[in-house]
Amino acid sequence: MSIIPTKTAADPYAALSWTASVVAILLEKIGLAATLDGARQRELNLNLTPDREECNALSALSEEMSLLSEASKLSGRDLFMANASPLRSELRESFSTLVAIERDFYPPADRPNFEKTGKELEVIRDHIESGDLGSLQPEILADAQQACLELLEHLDNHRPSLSVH
Amino acid sequence: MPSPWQVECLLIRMDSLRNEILRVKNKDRPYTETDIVYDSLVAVIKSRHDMVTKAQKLYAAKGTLIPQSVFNHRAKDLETIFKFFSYTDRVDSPRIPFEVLRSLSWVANDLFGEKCYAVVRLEPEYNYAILSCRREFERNGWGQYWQYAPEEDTRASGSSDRKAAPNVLLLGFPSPDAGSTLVHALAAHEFGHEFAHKWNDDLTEVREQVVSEVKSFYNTVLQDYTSGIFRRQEGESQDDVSEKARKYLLALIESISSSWLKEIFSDLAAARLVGPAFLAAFDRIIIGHGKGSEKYPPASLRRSLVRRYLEKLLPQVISDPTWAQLFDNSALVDLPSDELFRVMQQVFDGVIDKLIPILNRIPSPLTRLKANELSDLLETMEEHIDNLAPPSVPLSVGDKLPDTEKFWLLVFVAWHYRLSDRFDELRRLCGDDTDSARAEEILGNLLLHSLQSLELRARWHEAMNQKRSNVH
Repeated sequence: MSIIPTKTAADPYAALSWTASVVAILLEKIGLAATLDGARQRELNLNLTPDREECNALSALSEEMSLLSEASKLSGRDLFMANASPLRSELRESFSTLVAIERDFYPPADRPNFEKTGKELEVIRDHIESGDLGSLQPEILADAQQACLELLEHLDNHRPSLSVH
Repeated sequence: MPSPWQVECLLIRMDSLRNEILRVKNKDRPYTETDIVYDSLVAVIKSRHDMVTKAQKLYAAKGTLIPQSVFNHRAKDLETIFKFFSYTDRVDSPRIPFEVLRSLSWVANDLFGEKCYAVVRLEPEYNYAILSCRREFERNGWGQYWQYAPEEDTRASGSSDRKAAPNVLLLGFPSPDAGSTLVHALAAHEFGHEFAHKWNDDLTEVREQVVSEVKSFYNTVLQDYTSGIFRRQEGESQDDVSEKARKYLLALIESISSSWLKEIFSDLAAARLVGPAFLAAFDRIIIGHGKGSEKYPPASLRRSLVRRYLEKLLPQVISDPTWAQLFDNSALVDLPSDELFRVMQQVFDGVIDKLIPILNRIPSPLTRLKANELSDLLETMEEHIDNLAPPSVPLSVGDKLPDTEKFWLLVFVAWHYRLSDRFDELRRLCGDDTDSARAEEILGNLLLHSLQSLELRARWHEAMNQKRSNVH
């Protein structure tokens, strides 16, 4: 920190964007594993087995989606009621991320469905853990992939900010 | 989607940056404390490079290109890494007062109970800053890469076990004040930020109280404030807009409360360590930057809170007329034009009592001494300065005042001298009684000598005690 305002290098969404990127690539890997046979994979020198960093990122993003979903259900009116409890610490950061993203969403029906994506990521994680990716429904994979890329787009294009205008 | 050529450009830039970091790391430098930063940045670049290469291969196998958003974020990562590197690529200017670094590291190690290196860079802006490099890595999501390069690690420890990487505190100094040791009083504020991070859970409780108080103004003042935040878009109802604005307002209140609380806490922590000397150094930097923002409370509020805290903590010190000029800031009162800022200012005006229990954990050399002891010591140390002798001479190491706390006491004394009539005599001694800068440089050199002497004597004392205990 500095005594007076200064330009800093920190991007508040850097960690989330990295996690979402790792997951987007993992999902791409899973999709390819389902479409390319072993011989073709060897020919292209592709290792399509999920690694530990990718699995950790999948769990982290799934949790983040649940928090964003929880934050999106909070009512602004209730939050300003006299007896409103403070935001839980793990929810506070996600609430800010959500507010920054939602600034650019209208109508509200177009908002991302974080709850659905969180659940889809959980299903994918369960399939990886059980070593049964073959029975994963392609729609779930496609939806989750799309949601990851959309989240990355919002974090990039809109460069969410809470600066005072 | 980015073309293969754009992807190649990104990868080449990553390679160039990695090579430049390694070049700077390997060039002849007076000290190697920043090696950990260079090694860690190289590891971050490698992770980004690996991801882009992997993604390129995967998407090519499907016959498509890397998604634009994945590519853009890696390009943004590269910008952030480059910016971070720019903080540490010129830490070897001969104008940097390297002599003070060891003493600062010594004090930081003691305050935070962990190994820290202090490094100084010249700031391009007129500012004094501190960056905890490890924490900045964590904030960027790079925490796992904070480590020495594997080959260095093994060489240093003689085994394959990784040694714990120390933190690096990067202190930024305004270039024109590079030689001003007196301005180092601001290190006390910057160390306050490290305490704020350490006691984040306790500060969170205070912040929740602050947020709750600010929210209580919603029905009277802030409801109107929300109506001007967003304009209604096609397909949105007025209720939707109001809901969005209320959430936005709460996020803003949370964000401002968090930032202001950390700044104010750090100001008060500095006041505990160096007393009103913090304000003297603060005034040197803050000129023209007092209005307040989302990240920083208005300077007038900061001064007023420090003063009130000092009145509680050190009434005998603050009654000394030498410090009075620091509190005469009637011309510097900032009246925020923004309704939210006015409310925040009002709420934060009452925050001291909530912070005192947390602040009490920070050692304060000025409260550890009785009023008459402090005043006698001050007089003796100032007499030494009058005679161009280092003010550390009357301080004995290993007495009831912990040695690292004497570091802050010396800074306090030097500023007291600077603001007292005695400084006029020093100016005359320089041969030009209008040249304050020159006299300040002399005073700063005496302070610097004292800080170094204190640190060396304390380390020697500690080593001797260790030797004695080994013998017995």
